[in-house]
Amino acid sequence: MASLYQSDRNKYECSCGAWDSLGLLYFCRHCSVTRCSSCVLVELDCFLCQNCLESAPVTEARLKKNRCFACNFCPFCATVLTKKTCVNSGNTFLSCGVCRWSTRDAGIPDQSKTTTDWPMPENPLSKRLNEISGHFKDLETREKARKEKDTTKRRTNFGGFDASKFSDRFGVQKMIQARKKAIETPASTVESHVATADVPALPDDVFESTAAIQLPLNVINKQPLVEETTLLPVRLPLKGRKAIRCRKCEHHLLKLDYSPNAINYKISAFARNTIPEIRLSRGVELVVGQQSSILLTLLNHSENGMQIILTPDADDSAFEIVTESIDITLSPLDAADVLLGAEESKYSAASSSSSSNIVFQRRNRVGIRLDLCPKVDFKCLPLSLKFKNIHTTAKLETSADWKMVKVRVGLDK
Amino acid sequence: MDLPLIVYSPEEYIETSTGNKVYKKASIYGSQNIVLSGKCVLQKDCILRGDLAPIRMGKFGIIGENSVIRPSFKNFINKGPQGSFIHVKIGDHVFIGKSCIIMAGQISSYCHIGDGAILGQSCVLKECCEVQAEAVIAPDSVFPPFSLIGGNPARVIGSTAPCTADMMIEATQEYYENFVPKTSARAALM
Ligand SMILES: [Zn+2]
Ligand SMILES: [Zn+2]
Ligand SMILES: [Zn+2]
Ligand SMILES: [Zn+2]
Repeated sequence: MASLYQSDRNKYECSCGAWDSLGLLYFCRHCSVTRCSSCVLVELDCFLCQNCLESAPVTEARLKKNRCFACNFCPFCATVLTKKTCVNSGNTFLSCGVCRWSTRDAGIPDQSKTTTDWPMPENPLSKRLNEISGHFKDLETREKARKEKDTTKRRTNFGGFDASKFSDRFGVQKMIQARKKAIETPASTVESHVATADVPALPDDVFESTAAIQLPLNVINKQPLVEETTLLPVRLPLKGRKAIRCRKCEHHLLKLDYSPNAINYKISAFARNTIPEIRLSRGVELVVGQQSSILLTLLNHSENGMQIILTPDADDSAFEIVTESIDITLSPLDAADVLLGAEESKYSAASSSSSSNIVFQRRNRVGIRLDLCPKVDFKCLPLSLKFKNIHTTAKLETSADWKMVKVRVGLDK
Repeated sequence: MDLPLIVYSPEEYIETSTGNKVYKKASIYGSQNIVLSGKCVLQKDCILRGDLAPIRMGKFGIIGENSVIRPSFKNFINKGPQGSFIHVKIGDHVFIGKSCIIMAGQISSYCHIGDGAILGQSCVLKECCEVQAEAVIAPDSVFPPFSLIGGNPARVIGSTAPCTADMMIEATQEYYENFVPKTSARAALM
């Protein structure tokens, strides 16, 4: 994982110019370019609760205001509350495993064992809010009906026949009637708010009481109208699961299986499976003005052999290049080799022009030594990685082209 | 950075026929209740309490130094006031760091648990989760796949890379291969 290999220290350049670690990049085979999180289209696949892992379709999630009705979190420490059963009565209450707060502290009565939806206090203004939203929905249908009436062409003459005598086979009459009704019925009215001079005075103890101030932000956000002193359980927000598409060709780059708990991909286009990975073999000690060497490991995670030319970037004046370039061929990854503990890959690989720079070769990885002479103390090594992999294009008949990716290897401790 | 080569002395560790490398003096209780599916590494001074309840570990599981795996106790109300210890299920390619306390009910495949993390009673980690070092997970909590978990009390603070499963397979296999006895050929290269 990222922290085991410290893979965030090595950044790869995306086709859009951003730099990111290899694990977070995608490679679109249809466009033959890399894509990062800022140059892809993200779409929501499904919603799921992160505690009970129950998934909800979009309409249901909207109806529930993106909250899971069965799971709640603690208003103090935001830990998910667990259901505890009272030994005597058999009823349940919610309790926090971290700070020991429980719904009994909030004065909420215990619920029966079968309760799944924990009761939530009613918003005192919900009637008024529903009234207003209903009114606006009404206005919306009227406006839509009027607009449709203006845009559709009016046909007055049906060839001398009375149109109303025909049966309404295609539902046109019904539609017109509904539209007519929408326009003709008077608009619903709601009371508008009236300004009042009768404002209650600020209570004196408001500056001394600290209860309102100490509420965590997520409580204020969710329960702004709840009395200041009572803390109540907060319903857990649903989590969206993402599917990712290429911005240009709109092909899927990442799509999980249907099940919300699945970790198998229907489609996955990780850059890691196309671009060679580069890693520091061990920590480096650079001395300014002295020729030093950096030990790197190149890995091929793809299913095909890969030809690689690695060159240090010359336009950087931090160091003087000693090793001009290294040309190697990497064997593909073979899972069976790993399980059997084989040292050598069965694919013949070791064809390289600069064998003096190769430290070791083991299965799908090659250790290389890069010699350079630092002029100043520098923290990151710029490299150009040219690679040829049949996997970089979706077209079957064409042979692989050379692709280039720029890499910055972090040399910090 | 590549994973370092770890050299152990052959007197301290035993390698079983299925490729498990186990520290000889590790405190493993109730070994008849412990299943290691092969190529697991149980390092120095780790404690497995198989005497409380069965512990099952998938292949390529790594347990770091001084880590404790202890089944958790659960009260079942319909079985009267007394409860029982519940099974610990650990998936394949799971990496548990140094000085962790694991009281989880289930750790699914491809999870990485950082050094010094504490997993509360019967918590559940789904696949590809990463627990940061020193995180403290509350009892009975559940984490969905691809969660990055950190803090005390721990909560989801981000998501792990989508290719985490591939990376964990590589990391645990490389760790296992780099964990070699002094007498081996690879150790001689050092
Ligand atoms: Zn990009
Ligand atoms: Zn839920
Ligand atoms: Zn709490
Ligand atoms: Zn594309």
